[in-house]
Amino acid sequence: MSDTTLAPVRPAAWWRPYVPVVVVMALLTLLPHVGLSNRHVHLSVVCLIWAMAAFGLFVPYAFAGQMTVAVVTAWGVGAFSTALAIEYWDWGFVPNLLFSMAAAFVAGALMAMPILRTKGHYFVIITFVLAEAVTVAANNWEVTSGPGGGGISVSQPIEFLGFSFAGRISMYYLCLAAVTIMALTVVWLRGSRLGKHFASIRENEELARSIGVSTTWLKILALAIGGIFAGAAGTFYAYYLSHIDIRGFGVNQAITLILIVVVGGRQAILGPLVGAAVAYYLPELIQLDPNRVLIGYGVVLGLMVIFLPTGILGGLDSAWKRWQRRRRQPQPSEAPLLSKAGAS
Amino acid sequence: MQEFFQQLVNGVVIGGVYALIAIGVTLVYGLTNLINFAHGQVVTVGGFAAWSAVSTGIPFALAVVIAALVGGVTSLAMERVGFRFTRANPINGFILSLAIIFVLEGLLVERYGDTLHRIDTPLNGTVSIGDVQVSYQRLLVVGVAAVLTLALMVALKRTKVGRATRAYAEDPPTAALMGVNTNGLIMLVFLVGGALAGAAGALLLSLFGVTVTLGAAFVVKAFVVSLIGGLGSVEGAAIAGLAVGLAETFGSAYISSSWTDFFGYVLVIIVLMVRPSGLFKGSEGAHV
Repeated sequence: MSDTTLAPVRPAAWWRPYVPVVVVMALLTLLPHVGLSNRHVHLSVVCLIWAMAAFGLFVPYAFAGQMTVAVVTAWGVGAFSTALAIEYWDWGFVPNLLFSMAAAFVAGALMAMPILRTKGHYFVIITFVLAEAVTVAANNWEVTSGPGGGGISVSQPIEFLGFSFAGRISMYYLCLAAVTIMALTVVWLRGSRLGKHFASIRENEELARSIGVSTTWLKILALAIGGIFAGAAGTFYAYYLSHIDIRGFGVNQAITLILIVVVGGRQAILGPLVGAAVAYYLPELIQLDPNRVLIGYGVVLGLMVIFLPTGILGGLDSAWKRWQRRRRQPQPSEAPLLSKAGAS
Repeated sequence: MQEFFQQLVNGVVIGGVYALIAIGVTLVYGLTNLINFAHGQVVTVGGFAAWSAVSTGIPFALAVVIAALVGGVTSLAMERVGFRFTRANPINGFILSLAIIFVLEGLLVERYGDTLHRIDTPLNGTVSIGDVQVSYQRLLVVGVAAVLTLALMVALKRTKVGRATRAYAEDPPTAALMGVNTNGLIMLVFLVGGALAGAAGALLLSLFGVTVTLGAAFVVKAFVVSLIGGLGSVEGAAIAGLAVGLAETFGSAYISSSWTDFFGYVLVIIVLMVRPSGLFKGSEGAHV
């Protein structure tokens, strides 16, 4: 899979990777003003929250190559710590957000602990088992299962900076801001020293270890950082839907998160956003019943894995690069051979 | 003491079914490094095939065979339509298996709805061993599971195809160089694993009935069993299946029944903490 591209002549400006994120987010601020119905604004907010949770999977998977099903558990930990903090201590939004991020960080790190001994496929299966085990435990604990096992209600809107985010549109802007901050953080993380360490694990773990990168702890850190994103998503989810239930954080939701990341583009920073839009907007636009949506998800994800494993944004990116290369080298002397080698 | 033996029998019954499902998982992993979570849907398909057969008047014994055939064909179809294309990259195969779960579960809901489907117990009556009462039906389930598992183990040890399978699991390129038809072997393993899972679905139908989510619950157990036994090891899957079945029944009888599933999960985590590649020599965890 190693791609032998030549080193760039001069390093790209540090701000370049941030531009697409800022542009897309700026365009998205216009979305509520194009005459969307209430229902569509609601869907957009849900999409944004799913995108946040998908960042929780994106960070460990795209950066460090660690696939995990338990990200959904970190999401649940975030949602439940918010709901419980409101119920028992009546905390406000900011302490709740920080608390759930911290709790999800710890949860993410704890769930990554089996990686100390197991690796590779064993670890993926263990995350699946852990997600199921936590669901069983949470179902049996009356604090988290709620009265009669029906979940917990969160009956207050987000109060932040002296403003109440009770309406859908205000919630849209708040979530958009949160997603923007997350996406910018992810861009920064990718370029940082830590991000390069993560990439070394993804590309060749043995080699990374041989030059002194402590891969095990970095993998745990990657999964825990993913937990922070998922935990923050949990806070917004709990506030916005005002009712949470263990069943909302099961394996089906984990599969949907994987779908979002894979469909959007495994290496594309805006992938979670695109993937969430495909997963949540498209079924709504074509008005299918939920069961058909499930089948559709499966078919789309399956076709995507087989025919376009790099996802929508990855596919667009390589199409763009191919087009540019063709434009630069119009004469097809040795070009076909070269471009074939470069594209594989 | 009577309670103890009763639970022992129940544990062996459920453990036998776990082993049957886990064998497909572990064989497929051993050959292709694929984590196939859609294997659980094969169990469900088998269960519903048996239900349809029994409800049209076919005797249960034949329904088990039909379920095995349908399960085998379903599993083979998954390989031909999907997993064939992801062999080079097993993590894509894992994602694909999640996709297949959605498709098959959705199709089964379209066809059968999401209610519990049951049949009348095919074998009535119980046998008493001392104070312990065991229904013939449960004995039948254990018997079928044991015969199928042992037959597969013998086939792997003694037959030419079995040796080829073990050789391929050990070292694919060398096995291919020795003239093993690797493509055919992988298809065969999907077929056999699917057939065992389909038969397990029919057995589960006779014990508890089937719903569309039956397989999803059992496939996680199958992976727990395979991990404990060591991914790729059929003997390991058989013994670990019994261990998980016993841990669950004793845990639910003596500790708490609402935590049943939890005991198997705890068992696998403890085992993997001590022996990261399972109790028996399984495949090494590959790089994902």
